[in-house]
Order: sequence, then structure tokens, then C-alpha cells
Amino acid sequence: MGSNASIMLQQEDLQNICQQTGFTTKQVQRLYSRFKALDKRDCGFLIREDLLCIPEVNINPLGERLIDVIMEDYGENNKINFKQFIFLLAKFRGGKAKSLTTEFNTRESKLKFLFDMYDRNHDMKIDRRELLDVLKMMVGGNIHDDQIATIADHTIGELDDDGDKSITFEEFCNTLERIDADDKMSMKFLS
Amino acid sequence: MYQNKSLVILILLLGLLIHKYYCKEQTYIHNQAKPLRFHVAEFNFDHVSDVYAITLWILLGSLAKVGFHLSYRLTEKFPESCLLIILGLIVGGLLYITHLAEQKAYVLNSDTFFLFLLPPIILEAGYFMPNRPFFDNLGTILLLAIVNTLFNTVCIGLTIYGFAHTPIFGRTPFDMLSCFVFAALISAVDPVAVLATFTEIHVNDMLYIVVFGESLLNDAVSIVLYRIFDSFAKIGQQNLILMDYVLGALSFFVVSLGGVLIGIIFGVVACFTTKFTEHTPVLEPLIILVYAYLAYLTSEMVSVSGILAITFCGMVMKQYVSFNISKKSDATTEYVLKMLSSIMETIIFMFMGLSTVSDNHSWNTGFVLITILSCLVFRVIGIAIFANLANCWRLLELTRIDMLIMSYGGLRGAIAFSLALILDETKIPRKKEFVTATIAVVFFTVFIQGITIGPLVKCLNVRRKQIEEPTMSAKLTNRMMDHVMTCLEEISGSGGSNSLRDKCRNLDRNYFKRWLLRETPQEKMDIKLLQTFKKINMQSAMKVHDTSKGLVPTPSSAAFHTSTSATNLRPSSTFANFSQLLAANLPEQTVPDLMFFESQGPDHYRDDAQMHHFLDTNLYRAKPR
Repeated sequence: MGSNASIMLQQEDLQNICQQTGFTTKQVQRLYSRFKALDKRDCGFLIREDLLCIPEVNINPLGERLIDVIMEDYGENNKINFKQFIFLLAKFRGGKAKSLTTEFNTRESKLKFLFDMYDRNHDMKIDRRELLDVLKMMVGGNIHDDQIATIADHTIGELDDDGDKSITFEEFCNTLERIDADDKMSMKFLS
Repeated sequence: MYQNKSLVILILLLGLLIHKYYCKEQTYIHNQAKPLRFHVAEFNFDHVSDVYAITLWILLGSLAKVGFHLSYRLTEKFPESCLLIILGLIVGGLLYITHLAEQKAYVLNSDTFFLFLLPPIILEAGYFMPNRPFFDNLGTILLLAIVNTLFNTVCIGLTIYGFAHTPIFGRTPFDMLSCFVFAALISAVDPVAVLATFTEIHVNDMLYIVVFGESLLNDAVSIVLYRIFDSFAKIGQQNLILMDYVLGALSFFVVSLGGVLIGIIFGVVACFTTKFTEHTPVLEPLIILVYAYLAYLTSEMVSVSGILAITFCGMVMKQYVSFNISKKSDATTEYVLKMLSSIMETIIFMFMGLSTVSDNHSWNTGFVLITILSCLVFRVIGIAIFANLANCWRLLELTRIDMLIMSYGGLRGAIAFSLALILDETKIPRKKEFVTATIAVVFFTVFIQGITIGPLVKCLNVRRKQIEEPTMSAKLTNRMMDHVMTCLEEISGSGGSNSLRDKCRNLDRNYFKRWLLRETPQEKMDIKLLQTFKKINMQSAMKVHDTSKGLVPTPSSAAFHTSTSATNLRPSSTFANFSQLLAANLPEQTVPDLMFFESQGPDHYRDDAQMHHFLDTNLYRAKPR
């Protein structure tokens, strides 16, 4: 399995990817095997259904929204190839030390990813509608719409500095100062 | 504040008077031969003397604590443990001067310590152990607990033995086994001291759990080493054969794994028992405590690690029992555990101060100095080596500052002291020096390191625990990050989808949860849903009925939406509506958890807290990664 993967992934490609993303060659090869395992129709790219097949993603409250983000922002035409896949995952590589940070996994890009989970119309603002959508996904079933609305309004009230009833990216980042977004959004990649 | 000090002194005097009278009373009875008459009331101190003394002790300690906390200046500078030891020293001094200290009851009895004083503290620690950080850092904790403790023991033992040949120790002979016994008992970090100090300085969870986890798990190692060297000393150095060494090494596995196993078994049985206690909720806290204590006693009986047993028992119980028992029992158990552990901690520190003032000492300056120095130096070296080793596989690296706090937080405490007290003087002739040196090390670590670690943490800007209530948006984003990361880990396959963790999770879901829980969480949610649905219907029906008479403003959808648009202008109306909605939805028998009570502020913040609580209970839980 390992040797197959390295044959299909060209050597220069491999080097290129490693350099840009900061992964080691072993990590890239392992991710490539994972990619091929997910790609059941063996056509070199993943579609929504492939990702939805993963049971964890299916039952996750934000699973569908995550796949939306992946497909629209990182793939094209509802397809994502390996390069895009690995550039996506490079965002979540842990790296506090200066040597490990590339342009991909800075704190800004991690927070931007979260912001994009809310902001689907890409106007760089989270408005009430978008917040309500995400809230509804994350909260259990027996909640009154009014209650969710109140919570959403309260949240916007907390974050909104300029009073336009929507949250810009800067306001979003400000609130997360206290939470260690960097640590929480880092994954361990096995090699 | 001065009133409280005088109160304390009053109690002290009272206690002393009672003891004095007790001594007098005995002689009084012997010397008189009065004719028998009817006595309306008698002064019968004999009857209650022991229990009276213990209760007076507990009262004294608690009053002292109350007094300390009234003075903000004091609590800012000194950790509680220091103040309690000082109090013990004062009382010990008084008793010594008045010659009452000959009675053995006033010295820390090792049996009392190990059987009564220690278990509640460890149980509370195990029950409230945050599981996620513990298992995330388990590799590091094990490495430190086992290898670091071994390293420390060997180094300290060799150092002391080496210096024993030099004239620094004043020509008293120290044989090798004695040195190693002492090294074994002094090198282990003490969970009670760590708990007492670290809870007051509020470092971040990861640092706390690494140091505290190490102090809990090193019990196995230190017990094994202590026992090995103690038994070897009893056998006599000349009579040792290879078999003894091999069995010694083997006993490590038996002690640690045996302890863990006993703890888990008792925990599981406790959970199973609570499956049937639906009609007797009053017994639930008792069941939890009794099973945990039995786990401890059983392990002590078969001489495996009791601390490990009770820790793992607490951890297992926390997982399953909280689903089974009623909310009130949950709150009660929490409070009882906290109360017991607080009392025991107070008593332990006071007794340590008290036992210091006695005649059983033999001060050997060179020995004490070398001991303290080698403890410090080897702790720093050990942490430096092993933390760097652990960084190879850790996701969140331990920084230099983390390592400094970890070395600095290596406090020794009452366990070392008790172990020193039960050394057999005939086999280990240097017992008095060891006891003195142990007390010296304990005092040094608790006082000097305990007092300075607070300012050190502030000065080095160590990441502190978040004490303030996070904002709504922070909570939401936190939860969202959890969900997103779980998903991404699955997609990238780095969670190890076919690994041990998944198998454990499946095992848990299919077997354990079914056997041990009364009803699976799924069923519970459905029942709750139905109840809540019925309540909402009932309440809205009632409200419609009332509004038709113009009594209560209706919270029906149309009216509410118009008021939410005006939210930012008139927050009070929103909160009023929200409270009503909440009140409509809370099931009747709810006893909110303790944190809920604590977060109640003045009235207009109350609704805020309710909203937070509401959000907390209703967000989907993220799966542990």
C-alpha cells in the first residue's frame, strides 16, 4: 500500500507539497493512502457523497456544513482533488514553533476557516440569519425558535462593536482572543 | 479579624483546660473514698475523652481556616497548608511545654493517616479528575510517574550513600539499604501537597494535570521501592539472593496493575448497584463512598497500591454513576466528598506541625542539607530530561517555563513523613535522622516552594485557568471547534479509525452502557423531550387563557418577534420574556448543579446566567477526540 502510493505521487509533486505545507513525506504519503481509501470510485477526486459516507461525519451536527465549506471553498464543481485536500488539511497542522509555521497554518487562517463555517455568502460578515442557521444545527431538537433567536441576538450583541447587527472578521477574532484557538484547532498527523 | 484570633486562642485554652482537668480527674478518683450518694449530674470526661479531642481538633482546624480566609492579605501571600502547619506547630509547642505531649495520641499515627486521613482526599481527586486532559497527557504522566521517580530514587540514594563516606555527615554510618529506603520515600511527589498548593494558584489545566497525575500515579512506584528496600533491610544485606531482586521487580507490575484492577472492579460493581437504587435515592451517596473506601481497604489488605485503586474507582464511577443517580444525590456526593477531603487535609497539615514538636529527632545538618539539595537538583534534572523526551510525541509541547513550574511543583508532604515514621528502628538504625530530614524537606517544599510558586507563576506569565464565565459567543465557538475538529480528524484518518480507542468506544456503547445504566441516554432524551413538549403545550395553553383576560403578556410567536427586533434597545423586556420561556421548560424536579448556584448574581444578571445554563444543557456534546 505504501509503495503503491509513492509511485502514483510524483517525486517533485511530493517535494513541492512538503515544502509548501510543512508536512513530512511520510505524513503526505499516509494522507494520500487515506485519500485513495475514501475515493471509492477511484477517479482521483472526492465528491460530497464520499465524505458523507464516513459515519462520524454523518452523525456530526456540523458535518454537512463542514462538507459544504470543503467542497465550495477548497474544491471546485463539487469535486476535490488530492492537492486541494492536502492544502485544506495543512491548515490544521499544529505548530507553535516558528519553524513549523507555513503560510497555511497560521492562527489567522484557522480562525478564517471557522468564520467561513458561518459565513456562507462570503460577504465577510456573519449576519443574524447565518448565525441562526449554525445555532439550529448545534442545538438539540426540543428548542423553541424564539429561544434560539434570543440566544443569537445576545451573541451578536456581545460581539458587535459597530452596531450593524452583524459580525465582521475582526470582531470575531477579538472575542476568540481568550480561547486558545490555535491549540484547539491543531490536529496530530501520524506518519 | 482580631475577634477571630481571640476566638481561636479561647478554643485552645479551653482544650488545654480540659486536658489538664482530665489528668487531675484521674488522680482525684483514686484518692477519695466517699460514701455513695445519688448524683444529679456527673462530670464524666473519660466517657468522651478521645472523641472529644478529635472533634475539638476538627473544630479548631475549621475555625482556623475561617479565620485565615477573613484576612485577604494572609491568603494572598501564604498557601493554606503553611498556615495550618504553623497552627499545628503552635499547638504542639504549647502541649510540649505543658508536658502533655507524652500521650501518643498527639503524634501523627501512620495507621490513622493511611486508613482514615488519606483516602477521602484521593477519592475526591479521582472523582473530579478531568478525564480528557488526563488521558490526553497519559503518556507524559506515566513517563514522569514511573521513570522519573525511579531516576530520582536511584540518584538521591547514590548521592546520600556517596556522601555518607565523607565526613559531612559527622561520622555516623549509613548503610546502603537505609539510604535507598530513605531515597524511596523522599523522592515521590505528594498528591496532598500538590493539590493544596496548585488549587490556589490556578495554572492551566494541562500543567496541573501533569503534575497532579504524576503525584498520584507515582504511588505505585514509591510503594514498591519502599517496600523492596525495607524488606531487603529486614532480610539483611548479606542474605539477599537473585530471586529477591527478580520478585522485587515483578512486584511493581503486581502492585500497580493490581491496584488499578481492584479500583475498576469496585467502580463497576458500584455502578451496577446504582442501577437499582431508583427507589432509595438517599442511599446513593453512601453507596458511592462505601464502595470506593472498600476498594482502598481491599488493596491495602493485599498490599497493592490503594491510591491507584481509589483513584480509578472514582474515575470509573464518575462516568457511569452520574447517569444513574438523581441530581440531588449527585450534588450531595460532590459536597460530601469536598467536605471530607477538606477536613482531612486540614487535619493532616495540623498534625504534621504538631508531630514536629517532639523528642524523636536527631538533627544532622550535613545530612539535611544534602537531602534538600539533592531533591531539588535531581528533580530539575529529571524533569528536564523526561519532559524533553515526552515532547517528541506530544502535540502540545511543554515549554521551558512549563518545565520550570513542573520541577518547582514537586512538593513532598505527609505521605513521605508517615512512611518515615513507620520505619523499623532496629533494622534501620538511622531512623531518627531520616524523620528529621523528611520533616525538613517537607517544610522546605511546603513553605518556601509553596509560598513562592504563586508569585513565580504570575511573574512568568504562565497560562492560567479561565475562571471567568466565557461569553456566549466563546462557548458557541468552542463547541463548534470541537465538532469541526472531530469531523476533520475522521476525514483525515488521523484519529486512527480502526484503533483501540474506537474499539473501546464501541465496547462502551454496546455493553457497558447497557449493563450499567438504568436507561440509555437516548431513551432518557426521548422521555425528557416528551415531558418538555407536554409542558410547553400546557403552558402556552395557560398563557393564552391568561392573556385573554389581559393578565400576562403573551409570549406567542408574533408578539415575540416584534419585541426581539427591539432587543438591543430594551434588553430588560427580552430577559423577562426569556425567563418566562425558560420557566415554562424546566422540568419540575430540577436541582441545578452547584456551579449554577454560584453563578447567581444580582437580579439582572440572573437571567444572563440562566441563558448560559440553558445553552450549556442544550448544545450537542462533542465526541471526545
